[in-house]
Amino acid sequence: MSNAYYIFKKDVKSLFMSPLAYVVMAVFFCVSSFLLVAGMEEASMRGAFGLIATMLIFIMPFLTMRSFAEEFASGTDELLMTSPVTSGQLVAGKFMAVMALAGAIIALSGQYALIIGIYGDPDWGPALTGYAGLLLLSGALASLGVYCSSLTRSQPAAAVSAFGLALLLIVIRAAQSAVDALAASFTGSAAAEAVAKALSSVLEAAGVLDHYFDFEKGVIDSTHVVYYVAFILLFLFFTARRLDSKRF
Amino acid sequence: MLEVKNVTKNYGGLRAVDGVSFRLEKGEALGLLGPNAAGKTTLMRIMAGYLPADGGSVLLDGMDIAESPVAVKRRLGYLPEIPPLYNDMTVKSYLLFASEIKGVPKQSRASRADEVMERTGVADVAGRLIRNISKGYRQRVGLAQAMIHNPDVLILDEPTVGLDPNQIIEIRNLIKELSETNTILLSSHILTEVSATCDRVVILNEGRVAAVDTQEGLARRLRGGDALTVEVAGAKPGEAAQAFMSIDGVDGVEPASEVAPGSERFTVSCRAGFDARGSIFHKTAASGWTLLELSRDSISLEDVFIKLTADEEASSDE
Repeated sequence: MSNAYYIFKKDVKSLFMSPLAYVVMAVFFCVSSFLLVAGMEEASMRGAFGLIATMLIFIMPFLTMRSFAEEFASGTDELLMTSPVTSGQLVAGKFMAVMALAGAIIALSGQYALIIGIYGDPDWGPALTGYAGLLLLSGALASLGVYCSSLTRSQPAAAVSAFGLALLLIVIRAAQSAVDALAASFTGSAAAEAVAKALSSVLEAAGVLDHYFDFEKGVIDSTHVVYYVAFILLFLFFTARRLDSKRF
Repeated sequence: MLEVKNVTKNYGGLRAVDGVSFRLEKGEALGLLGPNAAGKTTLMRIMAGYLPADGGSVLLDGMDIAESPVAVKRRLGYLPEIPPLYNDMTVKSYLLFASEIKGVPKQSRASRADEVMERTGVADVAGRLIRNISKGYRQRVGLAQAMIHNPDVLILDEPTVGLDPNQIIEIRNLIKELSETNTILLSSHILTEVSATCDRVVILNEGRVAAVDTQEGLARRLRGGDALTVEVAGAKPGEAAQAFMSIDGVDGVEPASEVAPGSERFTVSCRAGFDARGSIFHKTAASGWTLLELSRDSISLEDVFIKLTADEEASSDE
């Protein structure tokens, strides 16, 4: 596993040495602080969490776009892929590096909790579970973004596709009513109806943001945890397969 | 030591590498020579484990790179055509990173980095950012990266491309030095490069092996015997050619390039083992002609290369 750590270390250094990380952080805190103050009605973290979650959807693609696309574009993947490092170690290191930066941003957003704590008396239970939810959500977005980055040598293409896929996975429930209507029209065929019903329940459970809301209410439901962990592992697995398809 | 067995690779409909086989023996320096787009880079990428082959296999001491990539890669050093450098790292931190992922034990990483920087002559830029160093240094840092884990086999893809003449000589000397301790496979489309550094040559053309031999062997095989350049003055047209043709051991007489009026120039080819120079001299002297030039052409790798690749084209056109 030390190979994954070396990749992690290299990527973290390069992330924190690039202006991109600081621009992203600056934008993140300017916009979320403004919205938080402008819309605050009570001393609770609820509003802040919603904001941070929304902002993460916008900024994560910029943190993940470099991951593999930059290596492909500069030819440095020839060093990584001809070194005695497995695809799994490579993907794990890259994912953890993005998570270090995302984690730093989420940790810095702890200033909101601090300020709210000074001027009010928020409920700390939901604050803690809210942070757990943010970490899992950012993990899901990171794995999706790293996967998109492994598909192309163009960083903009990686960012746009990661953002588009994330949006699609957020609004995917909208398709449920159409599938339900379709299921209702399949009165003749039991098999087709069953397929449509199964699809409907998949759509209901697939939304990447839907699983987050319980966390900010202070509830840790194992379903949601399992969803995020499975989501992350699935996309990291896809990424490793993608690399293997390019080489051994 | 490193065996390439019937390796094939397709890009879409194009067959980039077509059933290539050869062996790299321990301790030798082998040159992979071919025109641009002959499949050299693709073949080297397959050998380094960057690309999977569509068919065939690459074996290091019998270990298949497709089956145990990690174990094989630990013993291979690879310098791609474009050195795989991180612009935002310093030379030293880059080499330390390379030593980490290539499995150099922790306690010897710093000393290995210093050693390869010394050998490749980049120690004076150790602390500079890679984005700020010259092309010659970039190439050498790339080579340092390939050597950092002291691999048994070094695969170098066009190591001197884009360098100025002085830098080319430096890199060649370094490769020669390395070839005393390591097994080296080096690709180039420049013939003098290969003749300067390699023991044996594999000529690759249109994805296929056109020839594998030592340089002398290739020359001998192609030529059969010597070719002589003869220039005479004072002979009637056609007379001299006829006279040379009658010499024992002479295979053919070809009129060569235009010369001044009154003299003629020929390329006289001889059968292997015959040296017709003496007979030519006596013949011209006896006929009262003046011998202006008589020299033996040594066939160069250049000629071998052009001949082999031209033959390939001719046969593929049929």
